[in-house]
Amino acid sequence: MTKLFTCLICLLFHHAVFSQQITLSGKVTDAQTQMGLPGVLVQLADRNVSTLTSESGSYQLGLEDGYEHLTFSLPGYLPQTVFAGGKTQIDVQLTKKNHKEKQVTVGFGQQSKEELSSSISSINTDEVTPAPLVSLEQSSQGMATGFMVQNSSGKLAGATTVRVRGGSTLSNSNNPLYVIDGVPLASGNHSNLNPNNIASIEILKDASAAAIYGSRAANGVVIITTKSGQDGKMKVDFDYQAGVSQTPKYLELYSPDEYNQQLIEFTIRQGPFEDQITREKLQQWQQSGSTTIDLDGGAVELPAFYKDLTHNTDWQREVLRTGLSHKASIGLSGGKEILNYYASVSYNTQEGILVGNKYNRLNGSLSLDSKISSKLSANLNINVIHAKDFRLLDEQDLGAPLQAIVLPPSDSYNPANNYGLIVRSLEYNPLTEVNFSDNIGLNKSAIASLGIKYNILDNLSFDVSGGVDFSNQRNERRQGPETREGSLTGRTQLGKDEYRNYIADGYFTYTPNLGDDHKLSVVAGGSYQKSTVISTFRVARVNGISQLEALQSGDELLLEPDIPNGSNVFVSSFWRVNYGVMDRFNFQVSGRVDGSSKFGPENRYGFFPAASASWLLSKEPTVSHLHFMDLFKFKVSYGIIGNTPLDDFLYRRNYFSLQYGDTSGLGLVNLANPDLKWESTSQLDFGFEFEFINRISGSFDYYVKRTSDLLFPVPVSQTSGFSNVFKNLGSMENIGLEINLGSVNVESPDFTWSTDFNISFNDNLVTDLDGNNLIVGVNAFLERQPAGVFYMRKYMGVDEQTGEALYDNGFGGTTTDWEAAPRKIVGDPNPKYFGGLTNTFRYKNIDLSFLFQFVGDVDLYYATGEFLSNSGILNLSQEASQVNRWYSPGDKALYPALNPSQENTNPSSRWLQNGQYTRLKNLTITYNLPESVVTRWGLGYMKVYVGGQNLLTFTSYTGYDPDVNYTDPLNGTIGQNISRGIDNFTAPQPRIIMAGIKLGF
Amino acid sequence: MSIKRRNISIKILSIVITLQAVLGLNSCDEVLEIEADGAISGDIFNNRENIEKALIGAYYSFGGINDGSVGGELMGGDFTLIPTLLARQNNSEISWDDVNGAPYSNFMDKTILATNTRVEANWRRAYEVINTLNNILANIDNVSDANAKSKIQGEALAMRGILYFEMVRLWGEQYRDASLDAEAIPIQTLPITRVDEIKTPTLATVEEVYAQAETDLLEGGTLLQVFEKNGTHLSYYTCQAYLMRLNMQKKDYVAAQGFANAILSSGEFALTGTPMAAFNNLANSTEDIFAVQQTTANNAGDRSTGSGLPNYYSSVTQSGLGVMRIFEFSLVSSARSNGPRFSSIDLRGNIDTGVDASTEADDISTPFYTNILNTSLLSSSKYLKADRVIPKIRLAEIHLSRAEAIYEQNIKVIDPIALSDLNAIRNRAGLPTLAEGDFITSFAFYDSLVLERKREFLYEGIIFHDLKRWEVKVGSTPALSSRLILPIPQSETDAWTD
Repeated sequence: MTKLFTCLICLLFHHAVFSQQITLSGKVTDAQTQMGLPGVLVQLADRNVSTLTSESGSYQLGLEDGYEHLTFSLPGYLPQTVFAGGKTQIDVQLTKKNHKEKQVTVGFGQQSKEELSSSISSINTDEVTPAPLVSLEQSSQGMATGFMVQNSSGKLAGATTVRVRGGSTLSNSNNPLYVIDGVPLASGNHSNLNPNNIASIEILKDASAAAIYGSRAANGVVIITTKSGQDGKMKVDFDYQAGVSQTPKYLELYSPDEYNQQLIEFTIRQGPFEDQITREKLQQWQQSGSTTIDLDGGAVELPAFYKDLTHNTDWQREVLRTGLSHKASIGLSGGKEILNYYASVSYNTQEGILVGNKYNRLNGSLSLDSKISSKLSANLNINVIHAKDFRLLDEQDLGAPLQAIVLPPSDSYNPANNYGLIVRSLEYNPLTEVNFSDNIGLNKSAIASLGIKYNILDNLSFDVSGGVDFSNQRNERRQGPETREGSLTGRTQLGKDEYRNYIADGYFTYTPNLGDDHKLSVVAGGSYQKSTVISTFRVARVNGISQLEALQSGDELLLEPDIPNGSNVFVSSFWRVNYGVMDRFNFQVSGRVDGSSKFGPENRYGFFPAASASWLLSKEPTVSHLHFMDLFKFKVSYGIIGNTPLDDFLYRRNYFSLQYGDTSGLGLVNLANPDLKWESTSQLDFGFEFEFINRISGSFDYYVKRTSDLLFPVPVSQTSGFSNVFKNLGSMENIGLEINLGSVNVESPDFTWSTDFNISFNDNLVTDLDGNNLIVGVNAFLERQPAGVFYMRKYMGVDEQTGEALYDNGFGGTTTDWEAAPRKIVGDPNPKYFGGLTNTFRYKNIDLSFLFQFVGDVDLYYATGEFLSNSGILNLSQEASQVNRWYSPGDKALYPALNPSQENTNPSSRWLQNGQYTRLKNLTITYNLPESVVTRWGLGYMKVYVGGQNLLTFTSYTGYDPDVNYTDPLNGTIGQNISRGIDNFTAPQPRIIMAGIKLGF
Repeated sequence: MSIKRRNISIKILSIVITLQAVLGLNSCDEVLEIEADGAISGDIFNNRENIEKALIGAYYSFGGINDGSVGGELMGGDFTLIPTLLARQNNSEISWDDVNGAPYSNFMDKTILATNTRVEANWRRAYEVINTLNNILANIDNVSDANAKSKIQGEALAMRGILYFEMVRLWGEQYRDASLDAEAIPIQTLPITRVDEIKTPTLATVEEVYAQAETDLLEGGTLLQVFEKNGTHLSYYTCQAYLMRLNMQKKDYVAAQGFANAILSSGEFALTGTPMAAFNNLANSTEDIFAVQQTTANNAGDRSTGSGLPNYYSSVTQSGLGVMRIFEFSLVSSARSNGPRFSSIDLRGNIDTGVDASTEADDISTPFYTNILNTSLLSSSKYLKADRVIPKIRLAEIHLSRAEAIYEQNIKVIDPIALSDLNAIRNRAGLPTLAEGDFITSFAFYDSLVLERKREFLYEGIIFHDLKRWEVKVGSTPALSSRLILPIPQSETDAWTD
């Protein structure tokens, strides 16, 4: 069938083939693998005669006299021109393009990697190993310098923190701008693309690269290009994968006996016999089974329920489970110049390791590229997403599954009684929540773009494109009458968010021919983008979404707070000039003017210029004879990029609708703030890139990134009705170093081994806040300190005589008064360095690759410990380590005494830990079935693989997982930017073992 | 040929479009003047409809309605709860669940930190309402209908007056000769619309704030007189009731009696049949002079929002966490000074012990019931559920204050009107009528009036202010101690730059 199709194409477009006299034949093979290359275009240089190679790589072409030049070309390979010289058989070997020839998408155009003078990381998506990951960010973790990925938790589809060269802002998202097929996203749906469908990811890191995106580029730009069809016969690719997710680590918690001993201690310490407690006596009392503890001078009666605490429940295993995942996709591609196509459909279903957590997603894509005439071409990309997320409560909410680990192990639950605890019936079992509530997120989205390119002249083209990014998100949550929040009646809420984001771009590209030594390219254009969001929310004490939806607005059961709609427009013009001299000097200057509706008329426009230069030392005549040096390039760049506030319309007063009694009214959202302007980030970058003996390559980048006019919530007199307002105030800097090294260690026909290593260092510093500070929980923004630095009481151990916790009193001594102890800077949640090491082996038909990912010199705050490792103060079950607490005077204990009257968890550096880790992020072994076998089966290729994800972790961190960044959703964007490095009942990243098959014909 | 022409025209068109984008950005201003669907923004105080809506917005925050992040402030809770806790004398009266009500522990302990979140929340929200009212008053001439104008203006002035009065009582010293010049709180009467208009405020004196409150209430009352009870909004009678309270606090008993008479002689209000009938009503009772309106959906909160009075007072599964846990002993003990000393026949001391986790708010008809979450203690039934109106000033107070005002004008005699006011409250509570001869001296009559207030207004946030004006110790804390005055929030003083 496919052969017929190829043949038809040949017949249709290459009828000239049949009018020839001499027939040339031969075989085209891959220089490295020696395998035949199908689909190679063989062309006569001076005439419109061509053919394509067959499945095995062989070709036949009629020549007129046998003394013509022939060109062999195939996308991804270096083209080769051969002189026929009267021969009738010519075999050709094509070499894969290596890195320096690669074209890089730079935003409104492409550039060759060699000529690039700015700092761009590319993630080759072939390198993204076949892991059952749902999101793009997760699959990029550890793959590129300057691109830090942190997972918020092991819940599926959880938010991921991505920082390009450190965070640069306080009040808006620090996530980069994502541009998918030319559409800058407003919906956040980049995470929901099918990673299999991505052709390339480019991360624009420095100002020179990002400035073309102007006002939203301060946190870097991630350009994602989805797959498109390539010339050739129709190809069908099929992919199936199954995986098993498991909990990589269980904490060591109290045994039932240890919990009961704690309960005895908790009881006795409330009375006058405290001083008779020792650890040994507690064990004896507990083992005696008696409910009355005889003491010197009296007896203590244990609570009545104590005698029933005889169960043995492993709460971790009640809420953590093994999850299954399946992923299947099918892709169809092919075409001729007139129309190339690529279409795919994929389905992904994954179970989380926490009970009740599941994620299903259906992705569809279509890409069409058409060369309508020699002057006109068009492309269309459509990505459709439909996801259903079975969510869980927020980690810190009562009823979140992992909260079960503080329940008494000597208790149990009764499924027939709504999973209530048998003994301590007032405690809330998360299984009640899981079994009697629904929490579903539905996402229906589409990202589409249509672009037309018109070559006005040979050296002047015009591109125009339009795009949409639509997203409908619907969050349904029902808590049944059995649950705590839904008690008696049930409680249901429904939130809907509709994102509508439209973009239109137009730009000219002018590349005049200035002779061999000069290369000029000019891009100039304009862009219009409009984003709107409509959000609604309703909640009522009813038990079911349909009952909730049936309630009419104004029904007295229904609470429907007014969420003002968002809308903003960017109008921009931009230009970029690239100038190359003698193949070795490249200069780039660019500018963008952005107008944003977010600001008042006085401050609407911002100008974001950038310049960069590079020098290809390897092309200097004096060194070009050094054959070992394939590439050596120096580069430097400087530019200014911007950031807007998160909220629209801050320049004017805004109101929301409200209801008092049965009358509607208006409430003020914000005071008019007409002086607010862009936050601007300048960035200086210099570095070099090299490649030696075609084997060793690398790059080195140093940058200084400074944000000024920080959009800062400045405290104001509350006689205004507000506690703070935004002002442009303060500055922040990120200084860093990025190193990439790649090496092909062994290269032979049967065996290749290559290694890629990347490491990024980043130092963040809040340089000026005009004397202000912002403190959220244990994190703070303080002047001359890294952003979000850990700021809390410093724990100094245990008072041997009283068992009380000691804190640094600020005067070189200690105090037992937590409140009186001053807060101190005790750690930094920003990793000083992170990176990855990938090794890839190929032996004959077998590929093996594994990636180690690491994060270093970082502190984490184990907030879970405030409850789970706090000497039992709230009489919750504890980590087993807590039996090493203080019991009696003289104990040299690790942990303070159990104080039953202490109700505050007293956050302190007691729970601050080193968060450094190295992780075997993934490992994959792939077997490529021999060509002879697959062709017999009528297939083009077939490979089977097995692999694993998060297989090993080396860390001293005692919590579940050091790859964690819990943020309290109630803190808002600013709180979330300040609060970092927190682990709060957060589930670990699962360990996943998977196997899959990929085949195509 | 035609193809070529089209190409050129596309080219020209594109160049024009792009050049416009490149060079003519200033002409894009119109493109940037956008609006979100349904947005309400800018200067909205230019027509009657919006000004009326802004006033409703002021009621919303005045009533401490929960908006998702804040709730339970001002009249919707804290102006009741904070003074109730401040008036607690020792730990045998109320036990407070610090885990579920942490920020309120300060008020129990009389060690109120300037960083207390409830102090800050009420401070900010009060000035938010005041700024809204100032905007309404500054633009009141945009209401052309004279009738509507007096109604809006009168309610805005009344609300501002009430707020300044409530705030100066909490954040300022007790009004007396020695404190008239003491700094209290800032007075704002001009609207703030832009962030650059926010200035460091100056503190007005106790006398100035009382004067502002009194002027606002007097002017408001005059404007509202024709609207009589004015629905559930602030009315002429609310102004009279607050003027009575204000003059009681100033110890101007002649004025206080006059304002009380205006209400009592109008016949617009009547005591409810039983003491509990004045509470947990879906609409104002006959004795509510002003009450915060709540509905199932829009209210100051309960256990589902973690705010508002039911969250703390109620231990009924559907509405509260039973944070406030009352010792039964404190209700009857005669050893406890300032206690209500309920006799066994006083309806206001009845306790329902037959409650459990399935009991609903409407099942409870007694003023106390066993705390469902801590069964050795009691819960008060005054604020059981979030969809009920919250009485803020009741006719019962007018009776008892008038009696006291009359007595204070001549402490040697027992005035028959004063006595009938006392008996009105006693009879409703099931207590027998007292005659002049039942009192050994006129001082005994006064003691009876004081005790009656403590019984009638238990946990309503009224007794604390009485103790201050009577200058009676709260436990061991002298009434005029600075520990019984809320501090100006640290976040406020930290923001003062000049």
